[in-house]
Amino acid sequence: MIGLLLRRAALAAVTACGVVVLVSALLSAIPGDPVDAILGERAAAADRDALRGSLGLDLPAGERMARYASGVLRGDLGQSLVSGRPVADLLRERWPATAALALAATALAVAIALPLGLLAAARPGGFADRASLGLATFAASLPSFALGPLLVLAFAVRLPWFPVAGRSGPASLVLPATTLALGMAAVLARQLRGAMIDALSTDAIRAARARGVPSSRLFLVHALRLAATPAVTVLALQAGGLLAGAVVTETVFAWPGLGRLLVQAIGARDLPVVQGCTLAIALTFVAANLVADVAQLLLDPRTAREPGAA
Amino acid sequence: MPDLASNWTVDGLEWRFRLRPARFHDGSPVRAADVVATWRSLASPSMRGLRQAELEPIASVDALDDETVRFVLREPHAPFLSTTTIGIVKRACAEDGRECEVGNGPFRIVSQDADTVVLAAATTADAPPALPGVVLRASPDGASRALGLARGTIDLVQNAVEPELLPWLERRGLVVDSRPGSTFQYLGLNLEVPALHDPRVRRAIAAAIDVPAIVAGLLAGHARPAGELLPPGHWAHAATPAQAYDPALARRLLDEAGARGLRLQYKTTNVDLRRRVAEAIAFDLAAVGIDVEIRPLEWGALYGDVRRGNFELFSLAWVGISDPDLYFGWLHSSMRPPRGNNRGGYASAAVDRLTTEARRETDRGSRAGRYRAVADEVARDLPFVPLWWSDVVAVHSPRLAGFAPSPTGDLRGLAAARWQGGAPPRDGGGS
Amino acid sequence: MRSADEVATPGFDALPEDHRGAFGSASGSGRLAAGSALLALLAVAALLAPWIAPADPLAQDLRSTLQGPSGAHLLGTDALGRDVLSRLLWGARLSLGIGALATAASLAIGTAVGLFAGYGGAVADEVAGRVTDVFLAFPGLLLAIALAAVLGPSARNVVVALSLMGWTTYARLVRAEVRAKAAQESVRAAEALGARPLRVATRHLLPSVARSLAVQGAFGASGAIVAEASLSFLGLGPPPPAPSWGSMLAEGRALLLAAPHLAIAPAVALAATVLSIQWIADALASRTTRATAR
Repeated sequence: MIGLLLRRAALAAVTACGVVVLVSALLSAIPGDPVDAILGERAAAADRDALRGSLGLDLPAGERMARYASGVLRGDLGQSLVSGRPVADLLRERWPATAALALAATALAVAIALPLGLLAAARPGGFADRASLGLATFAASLPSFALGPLLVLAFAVRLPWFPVAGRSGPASLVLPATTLALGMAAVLARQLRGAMIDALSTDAIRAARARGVPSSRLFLVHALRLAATPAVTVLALQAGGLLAGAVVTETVFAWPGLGRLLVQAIGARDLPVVQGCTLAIALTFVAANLVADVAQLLLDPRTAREPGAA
Repeated sequence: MPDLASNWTVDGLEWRFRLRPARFHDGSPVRAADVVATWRSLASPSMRGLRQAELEPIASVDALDDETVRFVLREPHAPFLSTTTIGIVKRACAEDGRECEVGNGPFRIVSQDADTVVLAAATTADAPPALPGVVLRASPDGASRALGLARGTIDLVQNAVEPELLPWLERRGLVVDSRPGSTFQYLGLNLEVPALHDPRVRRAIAAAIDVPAIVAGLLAGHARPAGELLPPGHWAHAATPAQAYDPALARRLLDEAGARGLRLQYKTTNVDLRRRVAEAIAFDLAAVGIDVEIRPLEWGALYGDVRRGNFELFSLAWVGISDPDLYFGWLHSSMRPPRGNNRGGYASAAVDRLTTEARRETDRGSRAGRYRAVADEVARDLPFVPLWWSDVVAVHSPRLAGFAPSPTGDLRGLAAARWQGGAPPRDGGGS
Repeated sequence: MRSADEVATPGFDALPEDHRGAFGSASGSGRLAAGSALLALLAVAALLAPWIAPADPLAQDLRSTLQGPSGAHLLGTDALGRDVLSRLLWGARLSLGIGALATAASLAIGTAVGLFAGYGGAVADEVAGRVTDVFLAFPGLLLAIALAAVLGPSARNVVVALSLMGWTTYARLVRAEVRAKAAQESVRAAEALGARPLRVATRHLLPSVARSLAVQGAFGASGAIVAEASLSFLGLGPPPPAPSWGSMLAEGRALLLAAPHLAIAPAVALAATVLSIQWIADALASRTTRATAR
C-alpha cells in the first residue's frame, strides 16, 4: 500500500518534470526567431540582445530548459516582458480570484449533483434520472462561453439579480461559478448514479438487505459509502480541470484570475507570463490527479490489490 | 497652474508666476516652495520618464518669495506654458518622493485601492463643489458599465460606453451628453515599408476609407471627420478639409504606383470597438485592392510595437491635444523613437524647419501661421491618415445636473455638478 | 497518474464543457437517426454555404448595423451590418472543417503512438506512457491555448494545436486493445509465420480497434469543434473578419444588451452541432457495448 502510494507520487513527479520541459519548450515552438516575434524585426539591437539574454535564447536549448527548471524549483518563473514584474508575483496576485471561483463552482456542483445523482439512482428512469440526463445533455452541448452570455442575459439583464461581470463581492461569483458548475454537476450526477446502481447490486448490499436493514439506510449509508469512491475520484479530477475551464469562463465574466491573466498575456505576447500560467494550471492538475489517486487508494483498498499503474 | 496662478510674466527665458491664495486639503496654504518641490520631484530619478520631454527645456525652477515661482528655460520654448498644468503637492511629500494624497483641488482623497478611489468635497476649496463626494471605480467590462448605469449603481460613465449601447441606455432614461472633443484618431503608416514610402499609396489609403460612414455606423455619429491634427476651435487649427471618400481615385493612384494587390498588416488594440473599426477600414481597403490582415493586441503590446516601429499600419488616438508643438515630436526627422514619436519615419525639410521655428516663437499669431503651414505639408504628404476627432460622450443619471464633459475627456466638470432633488443614498462615479 | 485501464481523462474529456458518456444509458436508434439527420443538415449547410448563404459573409453595410431578424436578414445583422445567417453558414464550414481535420490528425497520431506502445515492447510502452502522461497533465484546452498562443492566430495553427492536444485518448485506447489482441492466437500465428511487426499491426491489430476508435473519434470530433470555438472566442482562432462561431460569440457578448441575437445564433448553432455528434457517438457506443457483450 505504502509502496503503491510512493509509486504514484514518483510517477506524478516524473510527469511534473515533463510538464516543466514541455512548457519551457514552448519558446522553441514559436515559428522563426522568437525575438522577431516579440519585438519585431525593426527593434534596436540592444533591445533584441537584452530580450535574447532574458529569455535564455543565447543558450543551447538543453541549458535553457535546465535554467528554467531550476528557476521553477526556486519559485522564479522569470519576469513579465510587459510590466517587468516577477511572474511568480503576478500568479500570486491572481491566484485567490481563481481559487474562489473554483471552490464556489465545486461546492455548487456537489450541491446539485449529490441529490440529483441519488434520486436518479433511487428510481432509474424516473423524473430525477431524466432531469439529470437533460442537464448532462444541456451542459455538454453548451460550452461555457455560450452558456455564460445566456446566463447573463437571463439573470443579469432580464432579471437584475447578479452583476454582468467583474469581481465585486459574493454576488458577482454566482454567474461564473454556475457556468462552471453546471457541466461539472452533470458529469458528477451521472457518475454518482452509475456508481450507486452498481453498489446496490453488490453482494454486500444484497446481504445487508437480506439481514433486514431498512432500505433508506441501505441506500444512504451502505451504498453511498461504496459509491463515494469513484465519485470523489471524478470530483478531484474535475476540480483540477476547473482551472483550465476557468480560462474561458474568466474571459466571459472579466474575472481577474489566472485564466484571464493567461489570455491577457497572450494578447500582449508576454511569453514568460504565458509559460507561468500554463505551468501553474498544469501542475495544479497533476497535484489534483495525485490527490484523486491517493483518495482512491485510501477509500477503497481493493484498488491496491489490482494491478496498478501502467 | 492656470488654476493656481493669478498672473504670469515672460521676460526672455524667464517666466514668473504669481500664485493666488489657495489651501491644501489639510488647511495649510499653497506656497511657492511647494510648487518648486513638486517640479523638482518630477525630475528625480524615481519619477523619471513620466514627463521627461516636457522638462527638457527647463533650466531651473525656484521660489522668489512665498507667492512667486520663477522658471528659467534653456531656450525660447513656447509650448512651456501648456505644460504647467500639473497638480501641486506639499513640499514635504514631494521631497520624500512618496505617493501624496494631500492636494489642493476641489475634491480630497478619502481612500484608494487598486480599483476604487473615494473622493469627498474639499471644504478648503474657494468654492467647494456641490457634490458631497465621488467614488471613482475601475470597471473593465463594457456590458457591466452599461448595465450599472441602467440599474442606477453607476451615475456617470464618460467615453467608455459602446456606441451601440447608447440608444439602449437612452431608452432607459439616461442622459447622453456628447460634446465635440479633441481626441484625435488616426491611422499610423510606416513609411519605411517600401509601398508606403510612396505618397500616392498613402493618398490612396486615405481616399479608400469611408470615414463618414464609419463615424455614422460604428460611432453613432459621435465624432467629426478630421483633415488634420488640431481640432476646430484650436488657435492653430488650419481648416484643412478631410480627404473625401473616393475609391475610384484610390484605385487609380494604386495603379499608378504599381501597388495593386498590396498586402499590409494592421495592428490595433483588442478592444471590441477598435477591432470593429479595423474591420471596417480593412473592408474599405480590400475594396480598392489592398489586402489587410488585422492583428488585435493588448494595448501594452500594441504601444510597444508602435514605439519600436514594428508595424505597417496601426490605429491609435492622441488624447488631450493642447499645444501644437506636438507636431515637432511627431514629425521632426530627429524625433524617431525612442527620442520622440515620429514612429513612421517621416522626414521633410519644410516640416523640420517650420516646427523648429514655431517652438522658438513666442507670438501666438506667428506660431499659428507656421503650424498652418505644417498642416498643409502634412495634408499633402500624409505621413499618417487623419480619421476623426472623437466626441466626449458622457452618459449619466438624469438626476446629475450641471456636469459638462470637457473636450479632453477629464472629469473636471464634476466640480460644478450637483444632484437634482437631493443626493441619492449612495454616490457613484465613472471612468 | 492514472493508467489507461482506469477512468480515462483524455484531453477533451477534462473540459468541463464536454461530457463523454453522459448519455450512456440512453436508448439508441432514435438518437442515431436524429443525430445523423441533424449533422447531415449541418454538413450540407457547411458544404453549400457559398451557394445557399443569402449574402457575402464579409460584406459590410454600415448603414444597417445591429438589425434584428427580418425578411432581408433572417437572423439580423451584426455590428458591421454583415448578414448573421451568412456568417453562421460560413462559420459552419470553418468549425466543422477544423474539427474534422483536427480529429483526423489526432486519430493518426494517437493510433501511431498506441501501436508503438502496445506492440513495441516494454520500453516503448513505458516511454509512450510517460509522454502521454505529460500531455494529459494539461487539462482541457490549456495545451491548445498555450500552443495557439506561441504559434500565432490562424486556422492552420488551430488545427495543429488541437491535434497535439487530442491524440492521447486514441493512443490509450489503441494501446489497451492492441495489448489484449496481441496475446491472441491469430496474432501469435502470424508472428510465427514471420510476418513483419508493421504488417501484423496494420492487418491484424488495427481492424479490431477500428470500431472503438470510431466511437471515440466521434466524441473527439465534438470536443474538437467546441475547442475550436473556444480558441476563437479567446481570439486565438482565425483572425478577423473570419466568421468563426467562437469569435461571433465573443462579439455578441459585448453587445448582449443591445443585440442579444448576435450571441444566441452562434450558441444555438454550436449546441446543435455538438448535440448531433454526441447523439451519434452515444448510439455507436451502445452498439459497440452490445456487440462486445455478445
